[in-house]
Amino acid sequence: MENFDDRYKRKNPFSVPERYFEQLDKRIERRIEVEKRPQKVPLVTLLKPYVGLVAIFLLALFVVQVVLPHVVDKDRMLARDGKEVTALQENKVETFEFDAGFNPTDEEILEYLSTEVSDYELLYADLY
Amino acid sequence: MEEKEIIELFHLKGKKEEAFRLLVNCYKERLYWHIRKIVLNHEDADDVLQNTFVKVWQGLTEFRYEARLFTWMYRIATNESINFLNDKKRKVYGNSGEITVMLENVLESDAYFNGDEIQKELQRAILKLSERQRLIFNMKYFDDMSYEDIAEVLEVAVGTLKATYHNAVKKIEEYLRIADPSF
Repeated sequence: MENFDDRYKRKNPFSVPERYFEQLDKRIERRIEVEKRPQKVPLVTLLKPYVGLVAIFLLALFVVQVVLPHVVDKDRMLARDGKEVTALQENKVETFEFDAGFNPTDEEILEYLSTEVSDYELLYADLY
Repeated sequence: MEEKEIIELFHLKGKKEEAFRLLVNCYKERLYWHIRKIVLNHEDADDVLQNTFVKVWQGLTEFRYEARLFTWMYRIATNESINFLNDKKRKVYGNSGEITVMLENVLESDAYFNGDEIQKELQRAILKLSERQRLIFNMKYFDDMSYEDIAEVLEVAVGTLKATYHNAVKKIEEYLRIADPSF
C-alpha cells in the first residue's frame, strides 16, 4: 500500500461551492421547519380509499339493473325454444269463462266424455 | 459536545432545535463527504445530505443507543445515498442501466472535481468495484474509519470487511497498472 498511498496521498479530489458549509445549517433548518408543518393532504388522496368501494358498488348496481334482466329473459326464451315446460307455464291457472250460448248435443257430450273418461269410469258411473 | 450530551439536550423540553443545530454543525461535513463519494455529484450530495438530516430529525426521538449516534447517522446517509442512486438510475436509464456507467458520466462532467488526472484515474478505478467494495474502500481509505466503525455502519463482520478491503485494493491496483504501466 506504500506505493499506492505515496501516489494518491488519500487526498480528497472533490470540492464544494464557496461558503457551502456555512450556509448549509440555515438550509437544513428551513427544510426541518417545512417537515414540522402539518402536511396538507389533497382531497384526492383522502378520497382515494373510497373510490374503489364506490366503483364496486356502481358495478354491482349496473349488473343487477342492466345485465341481469337480459340474462334471465334469454334463459326463458331458450327454455321455450327447447320445448321445455318452464315453472311459469306449469303454474299457469286455467280460467273458464261461462258461455251462455254453449249448448252441446247429447252426441257431443258423449264424444267429449269418451275422449276424457275411460270405459271403466263410464261403467262405474252406470252402476251408481 | 459529546454525542450523549446532544441527545440529552434533545430530550429536554424546548431544546430540540438547539440540540439538532449542534448535531448538524458537528457532523455536516463528515456526512457530506461520505455521501459525496458515493453519489459523486455535488448537487446530488446536497439533496441526499438534507434528506439524511430530515431522517435524523425524525428518528432522533426514538434513538435508543443501540448503535452510536455517529454510526447511526452514517448508516442513514449510506442508505439514503444508495436509494438515491437506484432511483436516479431508474429515471435516467430504466431498469436495464448500470449504476457504474451513470457514475462514470457524472464523474466526467463534475464541475467540482479539483483533482488531477491521476486522482481521476483512481476514481475511475473505484467505480470498477462492486457497490459494497466501493463503500468499504471509501470509508477506510478516504474517511480513515476504523474497521470496527465501518462494521457498525454496514452491519458486517470485521473479518469480512478486512477481506473485502484487501480485495478492493488489489482490484484498484490491477486497474491502475493497466491504465498506467509506470504504476
